Amino acid sequence: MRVALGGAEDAGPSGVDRDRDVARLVRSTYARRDVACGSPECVAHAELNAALGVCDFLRSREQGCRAYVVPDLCAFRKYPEVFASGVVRDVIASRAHARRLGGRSGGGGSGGLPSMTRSIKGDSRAMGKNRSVFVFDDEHCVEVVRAMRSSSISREVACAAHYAKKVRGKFPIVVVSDAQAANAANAADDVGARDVFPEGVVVLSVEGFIEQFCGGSEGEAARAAYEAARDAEDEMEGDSAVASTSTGTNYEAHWNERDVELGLSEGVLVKGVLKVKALGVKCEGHVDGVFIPSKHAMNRAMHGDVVAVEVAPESEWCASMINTVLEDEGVRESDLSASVSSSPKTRTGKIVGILRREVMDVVACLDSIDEEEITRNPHAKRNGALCVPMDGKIVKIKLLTRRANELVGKRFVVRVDRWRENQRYPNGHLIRVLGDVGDVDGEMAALLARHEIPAEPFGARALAELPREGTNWVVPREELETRRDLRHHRACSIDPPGCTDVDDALSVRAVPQSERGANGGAFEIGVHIADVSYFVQPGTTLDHEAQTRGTTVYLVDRRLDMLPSLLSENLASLLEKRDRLAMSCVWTLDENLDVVDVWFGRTVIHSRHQMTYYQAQAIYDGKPPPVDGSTVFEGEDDIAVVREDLKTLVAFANKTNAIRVAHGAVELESAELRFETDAQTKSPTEVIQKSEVPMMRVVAELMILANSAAARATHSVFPSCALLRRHAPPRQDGFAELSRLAATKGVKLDCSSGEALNASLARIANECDPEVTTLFKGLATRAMSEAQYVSSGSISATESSFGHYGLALTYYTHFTSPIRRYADIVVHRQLIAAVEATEMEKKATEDATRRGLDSLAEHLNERNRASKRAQSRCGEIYLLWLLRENPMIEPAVVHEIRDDGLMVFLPSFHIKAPVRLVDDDGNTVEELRESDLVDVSPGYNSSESVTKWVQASPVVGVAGTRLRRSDDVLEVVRSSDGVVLRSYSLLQTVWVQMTCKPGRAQGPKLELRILDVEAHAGAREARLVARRAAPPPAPASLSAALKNVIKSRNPLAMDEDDAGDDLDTDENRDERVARHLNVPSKRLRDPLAASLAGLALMDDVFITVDDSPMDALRVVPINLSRVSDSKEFAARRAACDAWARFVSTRSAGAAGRARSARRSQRLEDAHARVADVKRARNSHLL
Amino acid sequence: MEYVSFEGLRLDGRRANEIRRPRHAFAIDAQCDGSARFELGNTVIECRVDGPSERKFGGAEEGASEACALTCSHGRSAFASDGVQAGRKGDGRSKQFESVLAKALTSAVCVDLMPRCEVQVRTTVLCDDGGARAASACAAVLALADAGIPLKGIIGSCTVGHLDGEALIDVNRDEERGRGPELWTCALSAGDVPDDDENEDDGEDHLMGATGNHITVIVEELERGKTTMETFKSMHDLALAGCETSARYLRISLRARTRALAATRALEKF
Repeated sequence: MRVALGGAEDAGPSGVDRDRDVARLVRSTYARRDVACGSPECVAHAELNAALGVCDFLRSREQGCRAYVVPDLCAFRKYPEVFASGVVRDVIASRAHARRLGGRSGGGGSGGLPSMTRSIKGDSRAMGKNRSVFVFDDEHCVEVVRAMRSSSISREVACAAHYAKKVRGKFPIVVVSDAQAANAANAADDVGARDVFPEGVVVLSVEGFIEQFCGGSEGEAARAAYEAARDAEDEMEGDSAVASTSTGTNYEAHWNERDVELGLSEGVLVKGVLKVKALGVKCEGHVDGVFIPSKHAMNRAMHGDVVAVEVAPESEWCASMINTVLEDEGVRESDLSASVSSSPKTRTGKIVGILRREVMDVVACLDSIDEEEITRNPHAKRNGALCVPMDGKIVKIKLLTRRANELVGKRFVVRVDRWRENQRYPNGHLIRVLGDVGDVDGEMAALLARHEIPAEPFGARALAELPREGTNWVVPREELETRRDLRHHRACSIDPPGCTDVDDALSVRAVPQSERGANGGAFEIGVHIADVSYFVQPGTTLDHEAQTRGTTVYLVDRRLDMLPSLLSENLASLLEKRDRLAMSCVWTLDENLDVVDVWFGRTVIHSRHQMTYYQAQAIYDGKPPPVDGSTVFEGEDDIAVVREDLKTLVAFANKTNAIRVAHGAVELESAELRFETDAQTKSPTEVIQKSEVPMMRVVAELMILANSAAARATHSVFPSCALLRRHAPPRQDGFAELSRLAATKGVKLDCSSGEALNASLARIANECDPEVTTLFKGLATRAMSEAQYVSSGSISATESSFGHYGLALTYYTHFTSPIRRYADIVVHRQLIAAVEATEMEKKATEDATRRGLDSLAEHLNERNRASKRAQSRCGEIYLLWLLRENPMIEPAVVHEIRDDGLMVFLPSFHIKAPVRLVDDDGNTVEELRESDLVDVSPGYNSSESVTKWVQASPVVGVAGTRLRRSDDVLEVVRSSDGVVLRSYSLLQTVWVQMTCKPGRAQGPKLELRILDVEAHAGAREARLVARRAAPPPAPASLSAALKNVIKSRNPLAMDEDDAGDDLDTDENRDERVARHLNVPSKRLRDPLAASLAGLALMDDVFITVDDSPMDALRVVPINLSRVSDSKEFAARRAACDAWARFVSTRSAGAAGRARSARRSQRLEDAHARVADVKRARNSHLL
Repeated sequence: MEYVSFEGLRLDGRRANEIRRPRHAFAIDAQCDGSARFELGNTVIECRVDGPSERKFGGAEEGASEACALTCSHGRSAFASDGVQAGRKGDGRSKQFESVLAKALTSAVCVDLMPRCEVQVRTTVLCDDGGARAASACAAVLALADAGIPLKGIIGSCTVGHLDGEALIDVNRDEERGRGPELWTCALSAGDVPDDDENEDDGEDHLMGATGNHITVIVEELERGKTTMETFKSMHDLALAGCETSARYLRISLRARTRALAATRALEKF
């Protein structure tokens, strides 16, 4: 009694004495019949399985299943590579096992099953990879619970017996368990009684299972995985035998799971993602701001892992040693002495536990030393080789395989298994071979594998769900009856040349006078989006495939479709002159192009023309359209009609764009590399600069508008589960580097709001070279946070609004490209439910979607990021391929100064790259001179008069010179007397030669060398001239476009100064604005005024603020020739003041909104005055 | 920790809208006027009721209410839960519980019929496996009925938690440890089960329709998570449904008890 009492009192939060306490835990469990079994053979649970979407985890006999496999805990632990990686199909895991395995810390384990359990929950990371294991909730299944209670059979056998009843003897249920198989064998020897197991259940050891059930090509992979895992096991036993005497690296043991949890909750440990900065002799990383100084402190964690860090006492803190351009590659020993630490000491710590391994599959090739040895002696018996991952931030891996000699010169995928304390490198086993190193096909396969982009063709089951008619499919009658028929609207699609997956079409219809309703709708502008959700029903295999892929990936040489080509290129694609199903968004506009109504719904449309951007632009400009597309125009009349439509579209788009810009939309840029490729060899022949025509922006603007309208519509109906796209405002520290750079140019960068940033960037564009401007825009884009999909009900989204910062919209989503993005399909479904379903159905939809939407959004974000990364890396590979034969000379801007070189930015490719200025011995490298270059122009087809050069001399430093670095200047100094030979300063434009440096492990790399300032002045000049001669057509300025619109509508309006608008300097603009606004020009210094000025510069535009719930901004044309009217001036100023107040309260956030009541009164006054002026003006005109 | 599995099953195998198995016993303590034990799964509550008796103090003053006063006291056995004491007698949490429970029960008792009387309700948690407050309220209703206190209607009570993005009714101890928002609701159900016992099956519809002017007492512990309006709404809807269900259980059990008593007195039909 005393002991019990004492125990209770001692049980404080210290946790030290906890071990002595014994707490009796009683848990009640409810066993039930309706537990999903995931088997298509099961009749009783068919409905339940379908509702949960777990029909395709296990197969039926018809689908080729030979046995269901139930491995025991030991088999899962020992061979996760076999049972939990999709090699063996139709695996059933008990939930009890799954939980026990999933709870294990990632420290020494391979983490096979955690990924599996996550896959079943719908986790983004493993989604689709592992649909071969079904976690069966045996703990709550009444049959299993009863069977285990009544007889002494194991959990696995009880599960198997449960399944055996379901499949009714069509195929066996195999329990894979070494221990039970041995027991059974003993029992069989003794009594000869095999009937200890229920009917239809077979118990086999792992080896026996592999032998019996893994034959043929399907079983090959399983067999290989089993052998690799077994070898690893043997190896480890061998290791542990010598562990005590091992002289290799000895890492500290990880803390056990409970201590880590305790440490985290008490704040002793810090949890975060490890970001490796460098590996090799000098090894550094960061976890959430804590510096990890050495390999030992990193303690077997790998890049991207979620880890727990113990922060060291302050006396042991140290500073980062690395500040060189070569940080990606690992630092050579010579650099260690050279780099004197300049950065301050930071929080330092060491990793004590790995909470989750991020890295599982790694693309790698053999280490060069091992490879040499293997080629020298190919037949020696060895059971492993060291391999080097392609990602320089991941450590080398000890690959356990007996087939190392087949891997020479190949790239392959390795799965990381375990990393014990006494091992220098982690173990891994081979998954698959991708291709040859350096070969473009091999590199592309490696690229896809690295970004986990599924490249295999669609499965037969998915293809079977396509319409049976194939390409002969026509719109079925019942769809024609239920949908709104918009075939009489003139719809056209505008896309890039060669586009086959037409997502969107646009239509304009002037409403005849007789049909106009009370709201005065004069135009109907429609954005019609392919109705993919009709073909891809939720819960189908096709839907699942599309979801797994997430997005179509556009690579230079291929396109990896999200949907089968029958859908993406034909049935769903809005091809011209065919009836197609669409999801339409139709705006009704009044005469002033103000939106009076929006309608969403399912429609049938008939596209008249499938135009390219260039055709549309030519028609709009009044030129004959080029014949670069497939569409045919029937004579001038046809073109004239299309032109009228385009005019309305352009006017509408410009107007909405002006509103967004006024609200602070930031227009940023990033480059996309395009290549002209040779048709036969597929090798790139030329880099194409993206040539932009204004029509692209117009189409984009209309899509943005449709997206935001769809977002608003879904959010209003499903406030807790709308899939939105959110772009958080940028963190200010992201702009620190940018501000510092700008300061060197004497420009103060104001990033406090979108408007201010726009104004600052505009100022930079005015003052600096175009290259520098591109750099700033590029950096600003990088500083922005990434737009992401979120569910509006998720907790993370409630922390701030769902708004899209870059586009300055309160709600935004993706709706307009369902053929190539899965998110759009989801939004389509939600929108259909929102506009068509009854209240009950809406509620049901909401409940059904809310659960999965968060993880779905995360999955789509991840897929999006992966495809973006793959696309840009693919562009780089092609660029390097091109550079291999034709080195280029390009201007570059210095944007960072490092100890041993510069980071430069190449504006023409939007690439940041290092230029190393010292060689391996620490001597500085000479600039490239004319004499170093060899002209290889003969075979080169020179349409430009630029000579191409290849590098003749190797990179050798000049002895006796060294680098001296100050804050924003890097100087090359002669060591003997300290004379400065050359210097490079921040934001200086230099000319560099781009070449391709072949790299084995990490693929080819871009190498830059700076050209001598004096050399090749002529060639560079020619290059510049060539560039200036054919500048990409500048996007039409909005004010100009708006002017055109207004002119066409109001022929009386006269232009004061229609030319030279864009050339105006900042001062002139200020002055003019001041003149027009009749405000003291000092006010324009206000950051707010910049955006105001931008708007007011559209000379003949009058801005008023509409206090409607939409926060709409009204743009009213006024007659410039009457501006002298003093009354009008007063009104204009009043309106501008109101607008300014409006913007300032908006940016003030909650406080500002609180003042809105007072504001509205003032606004009303302003409106009254505006109305006065309008009346006055009208009387003038009359 | 995963509280709701992919299939929608909770840790103990229930679905989100399933209450643990309730059990009850009447007249467990002959010493007092009325007593009852109520169990929800492993949670066991005993309740003792004394009264109506003459008001000992507070009634004499001028202007004091004539109506019957109902007081509650709440206790926990030392062995009610493993390890950490969830709350001792007299701390803020149990004080709040006592006053809320008194308020809820007062609304169900015909206080005007017993002027200048007092009724003492004592609840004891014998074993706490989550949802002790809801179970205490149910036990109190049974004990009041056992003591023969006139009731206007039956108070149903349940707790609702919110974990893994889903409102879960009748959270157990493991789920309470998930630190999600929690809602304890008492609702007076004025409905009645049909008199003839044959059609007990379709009693539900009858009951749901009969919820007239119910009085609801809600205690929220929402500050634990960021609770949005939608979350609260879903929890609240579930809680009201849960109260109705538990009230139905109590009503049926009371009817069975009455019938049993009647049988012992050889009354033919009650």
